[in-house]
Amino acid sequence: MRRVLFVMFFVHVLCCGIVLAQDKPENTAAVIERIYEQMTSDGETDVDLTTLEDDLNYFARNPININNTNKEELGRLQFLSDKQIENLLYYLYRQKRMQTIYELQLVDGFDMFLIRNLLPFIYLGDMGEKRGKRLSFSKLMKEGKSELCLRSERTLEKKSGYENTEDNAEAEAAGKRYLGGSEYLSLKYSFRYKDKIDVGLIAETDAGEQFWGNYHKGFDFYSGYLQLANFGKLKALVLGNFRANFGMGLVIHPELNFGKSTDIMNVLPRNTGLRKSSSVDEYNFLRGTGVTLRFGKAEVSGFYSYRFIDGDSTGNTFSSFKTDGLHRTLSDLNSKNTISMQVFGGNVNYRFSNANLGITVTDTRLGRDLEPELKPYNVFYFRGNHQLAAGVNYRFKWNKFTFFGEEATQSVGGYALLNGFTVSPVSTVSLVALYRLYSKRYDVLLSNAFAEGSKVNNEEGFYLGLEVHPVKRWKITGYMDVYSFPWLRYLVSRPSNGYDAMLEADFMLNKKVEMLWRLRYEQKEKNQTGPETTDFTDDYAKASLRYKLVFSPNERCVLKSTIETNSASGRDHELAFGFLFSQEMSCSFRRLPLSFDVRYELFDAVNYENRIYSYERDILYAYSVPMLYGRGSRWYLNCRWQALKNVSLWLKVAETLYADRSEVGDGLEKIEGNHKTDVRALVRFRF
Amino acid sequence: MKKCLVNIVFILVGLFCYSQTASVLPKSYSAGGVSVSQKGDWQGFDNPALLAVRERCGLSLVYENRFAMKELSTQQLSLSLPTPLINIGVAVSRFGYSSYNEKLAGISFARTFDELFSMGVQFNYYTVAFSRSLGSKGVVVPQIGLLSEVTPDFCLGLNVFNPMHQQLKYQEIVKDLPCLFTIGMQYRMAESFRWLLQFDKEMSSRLIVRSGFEYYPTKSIVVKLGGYGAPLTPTLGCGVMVGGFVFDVNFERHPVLGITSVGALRYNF
Repeated sequence: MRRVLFVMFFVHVLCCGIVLAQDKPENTAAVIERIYEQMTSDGETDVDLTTLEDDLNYFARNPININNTNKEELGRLQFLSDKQIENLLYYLYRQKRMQTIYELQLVDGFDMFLIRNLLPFIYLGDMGEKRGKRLSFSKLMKEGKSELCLRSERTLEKKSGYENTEDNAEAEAAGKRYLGGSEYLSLKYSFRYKDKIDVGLIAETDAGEQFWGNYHKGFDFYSGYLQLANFGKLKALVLGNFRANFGMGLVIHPELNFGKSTDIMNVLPRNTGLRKSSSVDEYNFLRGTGVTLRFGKAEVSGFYSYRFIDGDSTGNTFSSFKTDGLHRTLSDLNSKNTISMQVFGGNVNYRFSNANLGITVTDTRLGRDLEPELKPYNVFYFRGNHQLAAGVNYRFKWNKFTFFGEEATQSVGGYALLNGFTVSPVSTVSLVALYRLYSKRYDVLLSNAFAEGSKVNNEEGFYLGLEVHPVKRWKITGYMDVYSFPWLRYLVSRPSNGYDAMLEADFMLNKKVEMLWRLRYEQKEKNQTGPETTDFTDDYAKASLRYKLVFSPNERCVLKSTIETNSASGRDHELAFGFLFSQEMSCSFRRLPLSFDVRYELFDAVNYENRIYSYERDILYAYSVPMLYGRGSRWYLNCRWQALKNVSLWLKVAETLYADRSEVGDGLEKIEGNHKTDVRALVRFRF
Repeated sequence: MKKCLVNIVFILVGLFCYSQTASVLPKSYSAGGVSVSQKGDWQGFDNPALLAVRERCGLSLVYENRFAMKELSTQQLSLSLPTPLINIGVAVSRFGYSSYNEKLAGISFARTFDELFSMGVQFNYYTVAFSRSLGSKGVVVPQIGLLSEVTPDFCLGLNVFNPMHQQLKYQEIVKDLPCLFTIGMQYRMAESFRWLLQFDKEMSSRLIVRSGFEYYPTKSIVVKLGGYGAPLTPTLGCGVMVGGFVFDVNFERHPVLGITSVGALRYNF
């Protein structure tokens, strides 16, 4: 009873805070930060949260009526696991409706940490609230919201790629100088009418890319999309740039893949179907059209994409894809859009009372043959220009278990199996187990699933995750992943194995104080890296410990102190240590429409193996997790100012100062001096 | 010979006292040298946010004698002045002898926000007199501090000295000033017993962990026991309060170099 009273009191206090701060972008930023930190607990995963941020910003302005919602709508709050959505819907089904927001803590699997993330995006309304009347053009124009974002950034110090030479044209032709200026520029326009119509245009030029000159005119990257959703039988229609989220990622790349995160129950991607791609990521998207239709309990999707991708082609072949999207030198430009990629695909999904079954097929055709230079580790990689892949995915409930998985194969042979289950034997304990077996011949170009390696092939592993709420205010999460690679890998010249484990404790003393301890350990085989590279392997281990204290003296101020240390065996098995100390302060003002985050951190991680990643708040639609290694300090200031009702400005200044070097970066990115300062600004108009 | 010996000891001090790369900063008289979270006790060049919670004017004199050698002594004087808007502090410190000495003067501003969170900034001017022939050179070194009263019994303090990596450059001489990040806490386990913990990380030196305990047998007496570093340097000290005066003394024993003593006399108006 005391526990319930405590939780109710806590939720009440939290709700009051949220009501005061409703529709404040800081709420969305805080949730994004927590999700990002969960997803990238090792810091090395590169995650694009643009679509998630888009959705969360939308739901912050148009919260979900919890008494009149459905699985699809809740599914767009991607921090909710399938199990949590099911539990919430089951609670609503059983209780008919939620009377107060405090009831959230009575839903199985909902803890304070989750409720805090959820509150900014929901409200309690009537059950019979109409979800939308007939759509008319005038209504569309009246209720639809447009948003225009202009973003620019640059590094204040001059990089060697921008230095003037005696003959700039010759240096540019020789690839010794960037073709463009040092400014990054992007333009993003979007129009949204509820969750039904979404249209957008994006243009981007990276720093170093030529905006207007001899080699290129205009922005370097253009993107556009149209998404229609929930019009009768039409579940979704996408046109332009889009992403397809079907299955567990064995056949086609999902939008958001939590993987080995500290959010244990969200281990596999959500089957969200066809979605727009509003990101400036120049590689991970499809371009064309797709449609999903509903027929009773069945959903049928089909899509077609035709786009050009970058690759270093020679004759009618190319050896690898270029995925960074940078076209700063002449050789970059020469490899731009050199390979056509055509993808046909489809998915059929059928919903039973307690189960789900889906089939996904993709047919990928390249304009040239992919022929990577033959090495022992890549003899089984995909070669050629045509690939057909198909997979069957399922999910079903039995008792307290939820089983899920996907089995896939491709036309040139090879298979991939991914199967697992989640179970909550009691409401305070949740467990997830996952087994994967990817044969060395399985190499599907569009796949990106749960894996230790960077590709979905040549891997077998068993993952076990656990989430426990032992006593009130505490949450313990942990996982262990044991894996092996039956064939060689890049820089691992023999079949190898390894494991990694994570244990995290979260403690919420009250609404003002929160603490986190995270311990990670991983061990894997790699080629010996002594003075000479050899083909003999050794075990390399890395352990890290992070402590974080979050203190909110009032609702306008948050202080975060972080200490992180790690140990890793580097060259010749010499054990080295890394440290990070950081202090952050986030504040908003009562009378001024201004908020800011400021952080100072000091790092000492001399070896690359001891590098430390630290998530930073950033301007809208930008994510930054700088890699810190060497000795030095870093600070940043990130401000947001609501200049007018419809105009907001963001500004971020970040500087890294090194104590152990007199130049930063290398090649054309080299800066003379021991510091690097980046400035970013974004202005958003809403109308 | 004596000067040669002094120079050798000076280098050794630099090697062993990792976070005290600037000898001009006197050691703390707190248990284990934990001073960043000592609420109510501002020590000149420690956490400037500690100044924010002072309610009365105070004057403090600190004398440190390293390894029983007067050439390695540091003297410090500080004055704190609370005002309704912002608390102000002034501190000066000197280390060395006639042929080589370092001086540090600082002015500090601190304020409490919402009673639970204090912040302070300090601007220090650091000068080094190399020799009569070379003259002296100075540089401004900023310092920032925070103090959070997380719970009534738990305080968290943070101090960053020289966040922008200022260096002192004079002719061919480049002297690195310490870039020091200190984070620590004070936990009142009982009315008369406190546990102190602090991590010092100077950019180019090893991490130093400090810890200590303070025991108050009566309201006017405190006994301090602590230690820091590896190999462990134990510290032992006590403090006595008589009227408005507070007298503190602290001793630490370095395993190689011997005993360092710190004495402080404070008066609260």
